[in-house]
This record gives sequence, structure tokens and C-alpha cells, in this order.
Amino acid sequence: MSYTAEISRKQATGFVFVIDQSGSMKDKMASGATKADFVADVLNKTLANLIIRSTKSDGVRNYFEVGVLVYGGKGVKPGFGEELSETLLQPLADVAANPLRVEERTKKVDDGAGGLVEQPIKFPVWFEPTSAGGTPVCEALRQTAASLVAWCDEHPNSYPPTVLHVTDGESTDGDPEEIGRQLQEIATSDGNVLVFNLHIDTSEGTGLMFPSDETSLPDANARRLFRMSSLLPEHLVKGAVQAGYSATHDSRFFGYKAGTEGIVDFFDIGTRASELR
Amino acid sequence: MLRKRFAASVPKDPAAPELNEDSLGCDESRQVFVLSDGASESFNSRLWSRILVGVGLEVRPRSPRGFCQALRHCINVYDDWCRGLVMTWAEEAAFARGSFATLLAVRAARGAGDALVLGTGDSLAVLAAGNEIVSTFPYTSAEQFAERPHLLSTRAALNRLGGIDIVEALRSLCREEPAGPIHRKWRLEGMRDARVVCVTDAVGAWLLDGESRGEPRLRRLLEIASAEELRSLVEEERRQRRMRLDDSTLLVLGWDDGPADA
Repeated sequence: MSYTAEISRKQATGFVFVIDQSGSMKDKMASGATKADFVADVLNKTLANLIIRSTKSDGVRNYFEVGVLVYGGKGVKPGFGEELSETLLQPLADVAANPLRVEERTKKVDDGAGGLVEQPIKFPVWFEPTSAGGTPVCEALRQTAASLVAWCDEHPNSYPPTVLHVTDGESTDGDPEEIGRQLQEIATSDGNVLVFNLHIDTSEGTGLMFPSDETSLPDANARRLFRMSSLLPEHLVKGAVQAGYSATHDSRFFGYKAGTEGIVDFFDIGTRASELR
Repeated sequence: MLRKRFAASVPKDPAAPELNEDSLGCDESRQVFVLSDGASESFNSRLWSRILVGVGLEVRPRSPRGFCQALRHCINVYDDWCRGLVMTWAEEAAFARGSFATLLAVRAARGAGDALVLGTGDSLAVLAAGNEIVSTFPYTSAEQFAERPHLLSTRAALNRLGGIDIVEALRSLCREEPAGPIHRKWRLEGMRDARVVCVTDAVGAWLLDGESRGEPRLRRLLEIASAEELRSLVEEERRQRRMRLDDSTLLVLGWDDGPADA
């Protein structure tokens, strides 16, 4: 059975975030933040959550290796800072130790008397928002595939890596469908690489999440991204259903015209690999 | 008199037994036996499970308020230990998120030969007559181990135990009623060769899965006579992918001469 390998320090899994930083990512969402800003915040929070889940009193356990690849005006490049740029996938403990900075932010918490109070929290930042130029999806996926072939060779029995690709437009360097298909053919003994795609929009809400049929999608780009997306493994069907989506075993891990809520859910559900051990 | 017949644990990583997050404690003089399984996604569930076991053996609350005080005491002990640490941003956040663990406690109930089981989370208690399962608590099937368990947390606000009315649950526990959401009272009158088997979730799921298909897995557990035999069984079942890789603990309790009025 696929996607059941236990995730441990001896048998880590990987997450690769492929993020669109093209010019259109500077469009503002309903919240007032640009798409680039909002995606950067959610990605930084997702990285922090992966680290916090893996942190014990004796340090960060390397259950995961993570990488960020960005594409836009400067072509395709690593999304982390210099300390983390040697290889695409970096052990989680190294990521935890090398944020660009740790900001002080506030969050609202229950005051225990029916109200909310602001509480200071530390917010580590690894990934900066920028937005310029075109959308070289093909090259980004090609570089991702090259890294994951090597990673899967080194981790033959691990839960396979997951690629979370976020974009707001169409590829400007060709049709990415073939390289997307090749990416999904890379595998460990526990299953093929999971490729999750999210098309984002400036609207509020979730858009269309986890569709099971491409005929419900309005244009060729959406249908292409649908076909480039993996089916949800069993435990992620459960995760999506628990989050309120009507996902089934025929659903693809794809979201179309997702707004703020959809972006948050995409990262949250997409990084729920099987149970840590 | 309820006695410990066997107790041993196999860590998930044989090379690092010091990281085993299962804890157990037995106090035959008080007739209390406690098992706790610390969750992997926790800041220090090894410490948390040990505190729960230690307090569980020492304290015998007789009212809902007593239980809440005992739990608060556990949280204070945990917080005091952690407060002395110099933490990175990640450790601070993980500490704030909390530690989580199961609690399974067995004690001789007031009725002669009866056993009272308190359980929250996915550690499993099994009442056995000879090699046959009579009853299990809190789960009855292997599939239930896939659900999210209700664990005790170092964050007091999270100890809602799945939305049940905790005060009502504790009240019925203190009254030693036959059944409640977090406890069972097992009557052993007339039962021959009665034993209570307590296991953490990997062994529990393996046991119920096999038994449901007619495999005598309870008998295999009851035949284990040494820690080495348990280690051998667990490692073989892990290799065959029949048992999940996790810390695995077995505690077997039996009565001196069978239940008093058997």
C-alpha cells in the first residue's frame, strides 16, 4: 500500500515549495496584502509549523527535509537564504537554525473571559515576497524533478516527497504538462512523488478545491494544472474532509481561483504527511 | 490481590531506549497500575507521561474536583521543569503548543475481585479469561486506532477529552459506576484465570486486528515471559509490517488466587 511509510529521523520525507513570483503576484487580495505577501506569510508559517511539530526539548528532529524554489523575473532560483542554498532540500534542523530573521508579531488569543487579547509571538522569516517578470513554470519543475530524482535515490524507502506549487497564471516558457507528468513518475518504494498545484486569485474564499473532474474547470490552463496534480492519498482525503471539503478518492490535489482561505488550507492539508514516529 | 505478572517496553528505536516515551508504574500496596504513552508530536511527552504516571500512582482522587486538582498539579510540575530552560524560538513555540500523552490506570475496585479502568487516549486495556478476550477499553476494534485520540495535555484548555462533559464523566468514575466515557468497571465474579492486559497503541491495534481475524494474538502476549521475548515479537511484527513502528509496552496484571469470589 502506498503512502504509508513511517516518517522518522532515519526515514525523513521531503517537501518542496515551488512559488510563482511573477509580476502579477503584486496584485492585491481582498485583505489588502499582495498575493506575494500573503503567500510568503503562509509559507513562512507552514515552515514554522513543520519545525514546531518536530521540536522536542532536546532539539529539532529531522523528520522532514524542505526546500523552496521560486520563479519570476530573475528566472528560477532557491527561495531560502544563502545558508540554505547548497542543495534544494535541507534538513529541518538546519532550516530552523537559519531563518533570515525572527520578527515579533502579535496574535489574538482567548483571554478566558469571553474576549480576545493580543499576545506577542516570534515569527521566523525564511522567505521574502517579491514579484516581477514572467512565469517560467517548465524550468522550475525541471529543476525540482532533477533534485527529487537524486533525493529518491538516496531515500528509497521513504514516504515520497511532496511538491506544492503555487501560481497565479500561465506558464511563459512552454507547456509544463509533460514535465509535470514526469515529476509524478519519480518514486520511492512507498509511492510516487505527490504534486499539488494551487492557482490563486485575488478573490476571497477557497475557490474550487480538490475537483475530481476536469470538465468542471473553465479554461485550458486550469484543466492542465488539474492533470498535473496527484490524486489525494487516503489520509489526505480524510484531512480534506475534516477541513470541510467534499474530497473523494477521485479528487486531485488542485485548487483553482483560491483566495486567502484556500491558500491556507492548501498548505495546511498538503503538509500533512503520515504520522510522525 | 491484583499483581503485576509482566511488564516490559520496546522502544521504537532500539539504539535509543532513553527516548522511549511510554511510562508505566505499579504500586501493589495501593493496588494501582498506571500506563501512559507520550505522543511523538510533543515538546517533552516523555517527561509528561512520567509525571502522569507518578501522580496517578500517588493520588487517589475521590471527587471530580480532586481529579482536576491532580491534573493541574501534573501541569504545574511539568511547567516548573520546563521554565528553567533556555529556549530557541522553535523550542518556545513547541513548549507553548504543549505535550500530550495517554493515561490508562487500573485499580482494584471496592467490590471483591473487581477492576476499575480509567482510560483516555489510545492505550488499551483488555480483560482476559484464560486466552480469550472478554472486554476491551476504550477501543473495541483496530480501526479505532486510526482516529485522533483524546490525549491529556500540558495545556489545560485542551483537556476537554473530546467534548464530553468531563465533570459528569469524573463523577461517574468516582461513583465506580459500571461504565462511563472514560472508565469501565469490570466484574470478575466467577471468571477463571482473569487477567488485565494493558498495552500502548501499536500493540493494541496489532492485537485487535489479529483477534478479529481469528489469530490468537492475546495468547501470544500472555505467553511472553521475558523482556527479550517481547522485543523479539515486536521487532518481528514490525519487520512484517503487521505492527506499527512505535514505542511498545505490555503490562499484564493477574490476581493472586483468581478474583476473590471466583
